[in-house]
Order: sequence, then C-alpha cells, then structure tokens
Amino acid sequence: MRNCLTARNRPSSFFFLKMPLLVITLLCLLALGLAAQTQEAVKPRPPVTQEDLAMTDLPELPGAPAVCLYYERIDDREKRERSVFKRIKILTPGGRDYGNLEIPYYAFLDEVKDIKVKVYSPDGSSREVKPEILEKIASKLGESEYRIKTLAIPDISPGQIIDYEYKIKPREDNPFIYILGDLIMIRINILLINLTMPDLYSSLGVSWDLQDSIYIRKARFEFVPDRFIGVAKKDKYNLAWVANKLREVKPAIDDQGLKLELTDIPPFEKEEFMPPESNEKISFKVYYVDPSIKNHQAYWEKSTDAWKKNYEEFMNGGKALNKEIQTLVGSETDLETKLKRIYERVQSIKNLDFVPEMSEKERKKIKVNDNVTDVLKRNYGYKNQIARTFAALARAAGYEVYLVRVVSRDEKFFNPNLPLFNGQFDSEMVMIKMGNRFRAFDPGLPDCPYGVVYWPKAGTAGVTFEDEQLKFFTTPSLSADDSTCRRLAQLRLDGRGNLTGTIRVEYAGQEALSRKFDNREKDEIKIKEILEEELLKKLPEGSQVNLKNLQGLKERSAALTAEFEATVAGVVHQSGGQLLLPVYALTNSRQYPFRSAFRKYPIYFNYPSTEIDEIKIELPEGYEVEALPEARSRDSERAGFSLKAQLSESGQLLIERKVAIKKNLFPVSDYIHLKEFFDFVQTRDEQQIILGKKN
Amino acid sequence: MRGCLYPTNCNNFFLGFLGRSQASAQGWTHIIVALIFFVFALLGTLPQPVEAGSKPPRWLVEISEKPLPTLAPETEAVYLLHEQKLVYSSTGYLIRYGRQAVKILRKEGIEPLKFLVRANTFNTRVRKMNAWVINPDDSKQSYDLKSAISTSLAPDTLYWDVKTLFLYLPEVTRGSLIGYEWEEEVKPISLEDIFIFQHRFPVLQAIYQAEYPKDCQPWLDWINWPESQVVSGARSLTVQLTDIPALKDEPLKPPDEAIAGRLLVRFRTEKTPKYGRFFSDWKDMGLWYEQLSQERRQPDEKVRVKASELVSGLTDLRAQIEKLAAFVQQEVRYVSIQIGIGGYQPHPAPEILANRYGDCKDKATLLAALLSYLNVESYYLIVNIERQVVKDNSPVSLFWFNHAILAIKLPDDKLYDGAEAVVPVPGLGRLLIFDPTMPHSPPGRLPFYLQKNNGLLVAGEQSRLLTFPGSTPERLELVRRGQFVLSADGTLKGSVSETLSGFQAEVARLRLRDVPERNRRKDLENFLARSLGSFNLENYDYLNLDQPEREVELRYSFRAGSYLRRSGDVLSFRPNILALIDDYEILKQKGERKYPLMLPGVGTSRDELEIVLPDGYSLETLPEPMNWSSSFADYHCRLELKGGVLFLERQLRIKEDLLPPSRFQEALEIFRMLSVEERRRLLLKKLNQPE
Repeated sequence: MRNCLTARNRPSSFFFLKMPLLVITLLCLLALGLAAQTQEAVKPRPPVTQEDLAMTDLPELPGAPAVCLYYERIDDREKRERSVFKRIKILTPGGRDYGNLEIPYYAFLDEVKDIKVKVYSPDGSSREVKPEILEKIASKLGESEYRIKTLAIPDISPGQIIDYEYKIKPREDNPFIYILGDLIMIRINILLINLTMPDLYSSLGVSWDLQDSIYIRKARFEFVPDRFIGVAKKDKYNLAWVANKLREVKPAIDDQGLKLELTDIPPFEKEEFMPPESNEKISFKVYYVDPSIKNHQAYWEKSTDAWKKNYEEFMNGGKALNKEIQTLVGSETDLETKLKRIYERVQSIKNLDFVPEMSEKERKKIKVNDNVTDVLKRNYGYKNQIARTFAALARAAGYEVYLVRVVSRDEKFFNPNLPLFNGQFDSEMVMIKMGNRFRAFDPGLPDCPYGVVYWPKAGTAGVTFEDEQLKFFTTPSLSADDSTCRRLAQLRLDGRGNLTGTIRVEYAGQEALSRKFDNREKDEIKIKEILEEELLKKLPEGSQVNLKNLQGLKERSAALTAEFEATVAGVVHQSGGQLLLPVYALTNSRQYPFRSAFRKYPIYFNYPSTEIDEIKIELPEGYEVEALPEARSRDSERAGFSLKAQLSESGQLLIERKVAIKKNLFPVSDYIHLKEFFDFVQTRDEQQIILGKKN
Repeated sequence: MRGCLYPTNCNNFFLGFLGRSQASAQGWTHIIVALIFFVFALLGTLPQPVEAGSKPPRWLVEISEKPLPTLAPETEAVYLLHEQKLVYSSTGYLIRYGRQAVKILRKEGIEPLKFLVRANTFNTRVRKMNAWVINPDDSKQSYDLKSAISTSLAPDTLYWDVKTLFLYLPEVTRGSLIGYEWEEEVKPISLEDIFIFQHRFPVLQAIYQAEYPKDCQPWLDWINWPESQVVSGARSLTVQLTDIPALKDEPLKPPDEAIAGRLLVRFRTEKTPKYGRFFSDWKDMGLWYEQLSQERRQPDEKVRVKASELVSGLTDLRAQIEKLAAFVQQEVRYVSIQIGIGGYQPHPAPEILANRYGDCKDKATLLAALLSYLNVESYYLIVNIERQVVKDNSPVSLFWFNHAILAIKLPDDKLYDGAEAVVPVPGLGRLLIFDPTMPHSPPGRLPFYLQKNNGLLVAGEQSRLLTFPGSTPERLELVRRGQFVLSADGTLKGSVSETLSGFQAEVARLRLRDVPERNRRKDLENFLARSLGSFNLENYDYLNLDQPEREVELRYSFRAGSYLRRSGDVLSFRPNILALIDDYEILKQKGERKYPLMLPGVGTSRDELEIVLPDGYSLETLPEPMNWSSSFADYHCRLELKGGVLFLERQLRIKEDLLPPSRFQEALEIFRMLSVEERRRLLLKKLNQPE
C-alpha cells in the first residue's frame, strides 16, 4: 500500500497568512478602493541588457524561435486587476508570430486597459508602438461574451525584443459579477455571495500555469489576496500554496500577499506514454483555506470528516435496506453468492453519469436522491450514489464494508499538498473484507464485472475510515496477468508472400473492460471498425482484416473475443530457393515505442498488461524448415519477454510469444531499460525462419 | 523528405482569401466549437433548448411521419430533405432560404449534426435560424437565432469581422429528426448562388429553387454531377434530385470540395444590377478584381525607396527580382486581418510595407508595387491551394478561391529559361508564377500545391483561367547516398547524406525550419526507427533549411546494434536500409475505388548505397535486378557485389499525380510491391575457412 506521506516529494508548503475578514457591507466595497490606493510601489522591471540585445540563439533550447526573457504577472485582488508584462526576444523568422498579441477576457465582466508595446532593436534603440487594437468575439451567447483584444505589432524581425503589458480590470458599469479564481461572486445589493465552493474548506485563489510554448528565462508572479473575500460568514481565510514540478521554490509571503520569482522554465512538450499532463506541468496555485485549517493534516481530516458524515447519512437506509436484502438473498448462505446478487442488483440501477442521450425532459423528471432508499426505490442514481448503495446493502447483509474515495488516475495523480478533496478524490469504490482478505468492487461503473475495478481506480490514492480512523492507502494494484490480450492465429502461406487465415483475439481483464467502456456509446458497426483498425495498425502495411465474430460485447464480464479473417501482407520473402519469414509476423516497425535517445518524463501505461501470441503456420507443399531462430526469453521486475518457434508433430510451425509490462509507472531513470527491452523485442521478433525445398 | 510523398498539414497556413466556403468551414468548425464550449462551460451558460418554443412546422411533421427507405446499415444519418431557395429581390438583394430535415440513424451521426452553422459577413445578414428536434420519445425542442452562439474565431486569421453563428442542439440522440430553416440577406458582389447537395450523409431529396426578375436570365452549371432536369417557369426555376449518395472516405482522394456534387446558378441581367455583377467569364471576374485592387498596389515614395535600397548594387534583373521576392517572402510576416471587403481587397502597398505584415493578397500586392520600381509588370493569380477544386473547365465563380499569388511578367525569353514556374501566355508573354507567402519556394520553383493547379489570372482584358505547369517526373527530388558496414556481431554502422529538392525540400522546410533543434533530432530518430529498429544516432546536420534557393542537405551517421538477424548458422539483413515511402496510406483502400487518386506531385527518388558485408560471410544469393514500369510509375533496383561490398541502386519515379479510379489498381500494385520490397531480406552464409 502506498502511504500518502511518501508521495510528498513535491516542494511545496502550506503557509498561512491571516487574511482580514470579509465584511459584507458597503463599507467593504468602499474600502476596496481605499486599499487600492495604499499599495506598495511596484517592483521595477529589469532593464534590457546588452546580453539580451546580442542574443541570437537560446543555448538551453537551440533553434527556439523566440524566448521570453521576462514574464511578470500580478493578480491583485484588492485592486481587482490582473497585470501582465512580457518581454519576448525574437530569434528566428518563425518567432515573429510572437508579434501577434491576443488578450482574451470576459467582456461582460472585465475590460482590458493600459495596453503598451515597446520594441527594441538589436542596436539598443527602442520605439513605442501603438498598433491598432482590434476586438474579436471568441464566443457570445446572449450577454455572456468572451472577447479577444487583438493586435499585430508592425515591423517585427529576428533580433528584436518586444515588451508588452496590459491590465484586466472589472468593468465599472458591471460590478454585479466578478470572478476570483474559481469563485464567481455576485453582488446583490451590498452582499457578496459566493456561488461556487468546490471544496468545503478551500477554494482556488489563483492558478499560474507556468509552462507555455516558449522558454521563460525569468518570471515574477505576485498575488495580492482579497482582503474582503466574501462568503456569508464572518471569518478569516488562510492562504496555502502548492507548487508542481518546481524545485526549491520559496515564495515570499507577507501581509501584502505572495510573491514568487522563477528562472528558466522550459516549454512543455508531450512525450509518448507520459503521466497525466497535470502531473508533469510546472504550475503554482494559491488557495484560500478555511481559517480553522492549520496544516495539511487538518485539511484532510476536516474534509474527510465532512465526506464521512455525508456518505453515512446517504447510506442510512433503515428497514428498507433489510427488506431489499431479504428479497435479494433470501435464505442464501454462501457469502460469494449473496454478494454477487447484491452486486447485480446495484449494477441494474440506471447510472445517470453515463446516460448522455437523456433528454432535458427526462432529466427534469430526475429527483434528487437523498439516500440509498431513494436510489433503490427510483432505480437510478449517480455513480457514487450507486457505489454507496452497494456498500449500504452489503453492510446490511452483514459484510465488513469500507466505502473508499479514490483519485481517478486517468487525468491526475494524487498530490497531498493540494488542498482539494473533491477536486482530487473524485470517485468512490467499495472494499469488502471476505475471510481474511479485502476484495475491491467498482459498482459505480456501468457493466463493471463483479470483483473487478476499472484501472483509473486501481493502484491509486484512496481514503477510507477504519474503526472511525481516517486511513490513506493505495488501492489494490493490477498485475500484468490481470489484463491480457491473447492472439491465436492459424495461418498459411498463400504463395504471394502473404500469410492468410484467421486471427482470434481474446481480451481479458482491463484489456476487455477498457475496450468495452471506451466504446460503450458506439454501435457494433463502429466497434467492428475500431477493432479492425486496431489490428491493422499492428500488422504489416497492406494487411487486410475482416471481423467475422465478436463475443462478449454486451455481457457484464471482463472478456471480449474477436475473430478475424486476415491477410498478413508481404512477410514471406524468397531468397534463391529458400523462403524467409519473420518469426513474429504479426507486427510492423511502428509498433515498438521509445525511439528517442532522450526522455524527460516518467513512463506511464494505463495498467500493466500481457500480450500472448500463439501462431500456427502451415508449411507450403514441398518445403521444410531449414533453420529456426533460437528460443529467447528475458525477465525482469519491469518487463518480460519470451519467444519460441518450433515444428509440431503434424508439421506446422508453432510460434509462442509473450510480452509483459509488469508495472504501469516507471521513473525516468528506467527509460533506458525499457527502451533497451523494446529494442530487444523488436530484434527477436524480426529473426527469420528459413524454409527450404525438400530434397 | 526521405520519401515522404504526402505532405501533412502544410497547406493551411495561408488561407485567407475571399473567405471560406461552407465545405471548408466544416473542417475547422469543431475546433472553434470546442473552444466556445470550453468558455461557456466555464461560465456555466451553455445554450439550452427552448422548451416552450415554436412547435415543429407542418413540413417537418409530415416528413417525420413518412417511412424511411432501406439504407445501408453503416449510414450514420440521412438528409430526408435538403432544400435551398434563392429570391433575387427587386431591392437588389439576394435572399437565401434553406430548409433541411435530417434523421440520425447511428450515434456516430450525432456529433456532426449537433451544430448548425451560418455566418454574418460584411455583405450577408442572417435573418433567421430556426431548428427543431423531434426525439424518438416524441419529446421536442426548438431553437432560434436568439440561442445562437456567435464567434469571430477562424484558423490562421488574426482578425476578421465575420461572425459565425452556431445553433447547438444538445438534445439530439439516435433516432432524432432535426428540422432546420434559415434565411439570409445578401448584398451580392457576384450574382450567383451555389447549392451543395452532396454531403457526408446521403440525401434522399434535394430541391433547389430560384426566383428572379423578369429581365434576368439564369445560367446553370452542374459541378461534379451530371446535368439534370430543370423545370423552368417565367421567372423561376426548380431542380429536384433524389437519392444522392454520401461522399466516401478514401485514402489520397481529392478534397471534398473537388468531388461533391453542386449546382452553380448565375444570374445575367439586362440592366445594370443595383448590387453586384454577373461574371460572364473569367475575364470578367479578372477585370472586376483588377478594379478592386489596382489602387492598392500603387507604390508611394517609401515603397520606391525600399525597392531601390533592396536592389542597390544589383544590375542583373533576375537578381533584382529575386531580392524583392525574398524580401516579401522572408521579411514580411504572414498576418491575416480581414475587415469588410478586406476578405477580397488587399491593403495598400505602403501600409503593408510599413507594417511588414500582411496576408497572401497583401504580400502579392507589396511585391507588385516593389516590382513596378523595376518596371516589371505583374498580375494577381487567385487560386485554391487544394488542387482539383478549380479545374480547367470550372465555370466562373467567386466561391472557388482561398489564396492569392503573383504572376511576374518576364521581359525577355532568356530570364528563367527552363524554370518550372514559367508559363507562356498568349498576349502577355512569359509569366513567372510566384507565391510570396510560401517562404520555402524561391522564384522559379512552383510550390507543390500549385503544380497543375488552376488560377484566375487578373490581367485586364487578358484575364483568364490559367493552368499552371508541373514538375517533371525526371526531376531528382531525393538522393540518398550511404556507406554502411555490417559486422558479424550484427552491428550496422552507417553514414548517409541526403539531398532534397523540390517538393521534398519544401516539406522538410515546412516541418523543420522553425522548430528547436531537438525536434529535428526527434524527427530523424522517428524516421530511422522505422528502418533500423534499435539504433544510436551519432551525429546529424541539416544544411540550408533557411536558404530556399538551395537544396536541403542532411548528413547523419548511426550505429544499429542488431541489424543482422541470425537463424542457425545463417545471417539475414534488409539491403533497403532506409525506408523510401513514409506512409503507405494508399494501402488502406477498402473495396472498389470511387474517386481519383491524388498525389502531391511527380518526381524521382534515388538511393545509392554501399554495404560492406561482414568478414567471412558472403551472399547466399544475389537477387536479379527488379524493374517495374507502368505509365504511373517506374521502379528499379539493382544489387551488385564487388569484393565484399554490396552496391545497391534503386530509383522510384512517380510519373503521374492524378489517376482516375479505373487506374487506381495500377498505383496500388506498385505501392504494395514497394512495401514488400522494403522488407526483403538477403541471406549471408559463412565462407568456408581454409583448413
């Protein structure tokens, strides 16, 4: 089990800065203006240096079209404005596009002011530029309007430096709504009411996504919090900051707010098989946190307490649960059978999170479920309500049940320093102690088989209460054997260099579940197309496949079988009187990952998995095997491979191949090993079987 | 490069002329929609259907009650009715009405039909957009213009004042019937209308109607469709079509705009129309455009001074032209700002020079003004960068184009003698076709998307539709010379030099000139991985990426650890070490071919490789030379063993870049053969050791 504390490897802190109380009176609003006038002087920006002017390339990223020499962003909630300054050095003709500026803003809330542009030539001379500012509508619906101020700076060429700045302020004629981070504030008369509070004890103040498409040499950020942030209670707020992928970051915090200085932020670049982007992108976030929260532990305790209170109330089904249990299990005594019946019952509940085709009329008929009794009575519910219903029924049937809240790892990894409970722990699953071991269930996922958990909830951070004690842990992980793709091929040489015959693909575990779940909204014609495309992508170019039979698509099982007629194109070659064919013919060179010599991010697969191939090839009339490649295998904690070709008693070629990826997350340091592994696999796959004519 | 026959996304950065047609707009709609929805999701203000809105009209209800004919099971949706009507009103305006009923048959049909699109432009005002959805559960919703989302975003355009309107239908599901009516008022530039009746979904019934004044005569042109019956009234015409098949996806087919059936209707008036004009032929349109743009290309003193400064010290006219061309191509950045008529009319040359930016027509305009300093005449050429959209027999229409370039009149017969971009035009002499927007094609070279394309030459009375030349198949566009050493331990060491010109060089520059060095390395690694499996790229160097007048040169060396494969005592290897074709997309063809096969160009690629065989081994068999020849392409490969060195020479010559469907098989066969040929292996046997 992964202890959440071990995951605290991100430099981060939880500074608390006592912020004055939001006073929900007109006086506060008046004070906003006063406060704005008493701000300290803005820190001067660095001058353009000779080094900046002389720069022709970026040593850290040779060939880069441009570099941001200095980026300054100040989010001043007291003044209710955001000011941005950027200094861009144009390095190549392609970099001139940075001379086109686009400033997006919510036109019904804000206005853009004080746009200034200055251009420096390589000789040090400079000119103020006042380009025509055009305004385009990004999107408009009724009064809601998102616009973009657009300007093209004239006469831009490589070598020049562009300074530009602007401010975004609330519109003076529309003070009724404004946005503070993810708080949307509406002013009704003199009251400020917070409409959005995603987490009970925290709310985003500001989020700085620091990685752009351009290298940033130096950056300075400042956050001046809302002195009068409004919620309908008289209390004070603390500030917490969270840095992602920033080493030794130390923001300066004082009564004025938070200041952060950074250097050398590279642009973000995607890599194949990388963890979720949110995990790898450099970012810095500041949260308002409830004043009662003093540290991370307190945050998680309070948040999980609130969650527990919520789910316990929801799971309280009283006698109705017992009645339901009686109906479901009757006199059945076998624990497994009983639980299966309960599971089937909750899986039959309409899952409202996965019915995109529901009309507005249907949606309006949906009532709010207050507890599991409502869910059972109405036979519909959202995914977490269904999970809770399963937990409640199982508990009522006498099982030792734990409702577990998990971080779905398909879009993010758990960050214990990030004060977001609901934002991180977004799904619920159920663990039940049976005998002396725990079994995990995923009833909130439509058609998830009994005893199987979908991969985003496996091997991820989970939280539950055990004997009233809060417990963070890692949910049970998947092994390579839990997800298999087995191909059984029966092929023969067609005399034109191809192998033809049938390929039966058996998907099991996550391999089956993910295909079923990802394609749940598609019809059979589309799924046929997808599965054919998937196999074709794997086979040599020019191959052809035709799905003849598909089994298990509609069944609630972690199994799916597809049978194809196939022509594997151009794999048999003649050399003199001999025929050569690769020992593993069901592949092409694009199938092997990790070609680059360099790697920046960890390697991430959705789940560990195993590929198994059993290929039988009929020899052509008049030919016999002259040479077979040696059987090869290798195994490590990361991956395993075996490949064996032999001649059967009936004279067929038998090829058995197995590739297993044993973990789903590998550190960057493992890249070289994984690359070497796949290189090895490709080399072995391409070994040749030689057939010669019989005497 | 490296045998990449098909450019990827290298032709969408200079869109910007004359707005966009309905069909091309569909391509980027989803991007804009995604952005819009992101914004509105943030605001929590996604448009909602009007529950108590208007009831579905009678025509839609009647259609909903009719039984559906049997359709192919893969049909995702079907237009039950696709109707368009044009009224040429006495006010001089064109009023367009549209009516559609479309039934969604599969879930895959939902996404493309969830959004209904029209656009307000400088001369078009959308007066009405109404939509109704009748769902299988008989629930109904209605939408109108008030619930439309508008946007001015467009790809590759910094600013334009077109407001695209989207009706978003969130309630659509499988089995839904969508009814749609729209109405718009156009103050025309050209008295014409287009009815696109062939789409990605089949159309059961298509109706086009036009009403026009007494003194007006309609001219009809059927495009990509056989001439069909027209019912004419005194002041009206009606066309009815039934069972129009859907456009089909096929690899390497021409763009949809080049194959979709459509009807072009132009109106000739006896009196001068209040708005717009009738273009009787291409010359007519050329004269109009000349009038619209002539003033814009007049140089002022600053333009003349700049031209003088640029050509200072150069006496040779070709050198002078190239200097001015390079200035516009390389130093004037591409920025598209289109306001009002600005979708058609360029900015004034002095303004473009001062800003050092502009779109395609601006760049052509500035170059024209600069050339006038040399007393060199030039003419606009209005084109579509997608080949085959404008064919040499296309009827005159303003709807075809999306790009502007320049034809430079050469003063004598010697200048640019033999250059591929020179076209002799009766009455005008030799014209050098040049694209000032394409930074990777110097004067004399015709960019690949213009080869064998057609464009409107704007040259006063000499205006016409001009067909451009193309490269010759003999042109060597890719030459790779490599020295390789194979060792008995399986290692392959290689050093390669590649020379790229023409299309290959253009594509390489588009992909690699403006990216950081490490992206170039990744690009090369990805290519080598296809050929070598595991390898270590030891060094590499790209030369001349930023000098379009020169060939691109690429040199690299690598070491591949396990290139030789062992089976018993025998070793095998692939002698075609470097892949010649980047993508065998053509092999993805399923079933019978319906559309022509279109390749980006013709040309020749050649490999000359020397492979030193491992000590103590010799070839088991030396294959016979391979020669494949058809009118579409030639391929030959010859292996020769001298001492312990294997010499491989192979050459692929693509001779035709557009094949009718009936000849598709001919191309397919050669690409199949190449795909197999690249994987062919040779056996090495151990030489007997002397006792």
